[in-house]
Amino acid sequence: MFESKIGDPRVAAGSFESFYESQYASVVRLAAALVGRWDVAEELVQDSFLELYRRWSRIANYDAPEAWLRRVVLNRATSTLRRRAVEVRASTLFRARRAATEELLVSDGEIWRAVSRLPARQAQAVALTFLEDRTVADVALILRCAESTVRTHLARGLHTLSDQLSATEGDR
Amino acid sequence: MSNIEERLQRAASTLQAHRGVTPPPFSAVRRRRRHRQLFSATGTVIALIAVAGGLAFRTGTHNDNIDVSTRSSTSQTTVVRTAPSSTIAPSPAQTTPVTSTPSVRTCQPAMLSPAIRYPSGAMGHGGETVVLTNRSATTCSLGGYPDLGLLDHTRSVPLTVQHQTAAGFLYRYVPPNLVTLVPGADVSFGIEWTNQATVTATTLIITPPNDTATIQLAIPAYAAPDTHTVTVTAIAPGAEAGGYTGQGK
Repeated sequence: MFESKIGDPRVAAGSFESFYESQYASVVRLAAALVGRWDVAEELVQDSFLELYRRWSRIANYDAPEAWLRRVVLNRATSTLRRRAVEVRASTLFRARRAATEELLVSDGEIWRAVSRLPARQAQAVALTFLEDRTVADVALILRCAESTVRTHLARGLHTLSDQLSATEGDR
Repeated sequence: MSNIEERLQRAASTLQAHRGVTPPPFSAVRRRRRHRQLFSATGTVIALIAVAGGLAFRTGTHNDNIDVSTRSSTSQTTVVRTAPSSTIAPSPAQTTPVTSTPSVRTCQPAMLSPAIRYPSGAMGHGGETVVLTNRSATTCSLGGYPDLGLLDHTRSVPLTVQHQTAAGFLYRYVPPNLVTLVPGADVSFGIEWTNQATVTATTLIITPPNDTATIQLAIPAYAAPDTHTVTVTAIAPGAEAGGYTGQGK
């Protein structure tokens, strides 16, 4: 199942528009899994594509522009989560928290919320591996770390998730 | 494979099956970004002016703190004599011209409860009536044109608000008069636009005339302006926004 998708010449060779069309949906899903909301995910992905567009003449020559894009999206998702944590604290203080409408929330929210609560690198490794069916080598390339580091992030992330979710089920 | 891995794969399959993730035209993404930058720059300028104005006011050089009743002393004033009511049902506005300016305070956003009525459209035009009900226990007044904003999920949508100066496609012309609301009374205004399907707004932001605080109102998709330019009528007594022209009804 986990086949390397990095460096696919069909991805790298095309124009910016074809790259945008081919990658948009998958990176939105990746971002949505981490931030929990489709609208926020789309916004941060669109901002990432704008950043890519400005540098396209250089990044189009990279072996794996899709790895660069995912790195930007994952970093933006992490920033969004950090910012939201601050906002939630502030809004709780002022009792003005705004609920997202149902259709904007990602389904299976419980498990993705648990993923987003993991340390950033663990969450990113889990999302890339399971949501995008990436190999450890691909994840290592995207996260710019060693494959052994990815395995460690995955193992620790899965262990924490297992503990958290079984504790949640135990509470019911 | 562990239980958690199976759950993650199931959740990933559900997420991948999610429909509706289609890329918008990239030109639209770039346009929205430009609008947002423009909006942000405009906001910064307004904030700086507001800060400067505040400083001037504190130092005693700003003397333009005239209330609405003084400003509108030359315009015709209308009193809505609607009995206080706990229901939101629109009541026929019995208006009586008043010759002197009433000494009532301007309605604050916190005193008003908003609602959308009569979303309609025809021949490429859309429109709706926004009703503001005085939910407070005190009489207050409103007059002129409200300012409007739109939110697209969480973002501000650039919006040009034109004041209606003649009968529009959906709404009759309403002269900008001061309207006094007893507790429970309604005032309303109409919004109309030409459909362009360039905006997906979810929230309408209303700034009552002569105010800076805002009222936010969730708008269903079928009643949301879908363009960057809308025309707004002046505030009228009652819940009918001065009446339809009948063309779009």
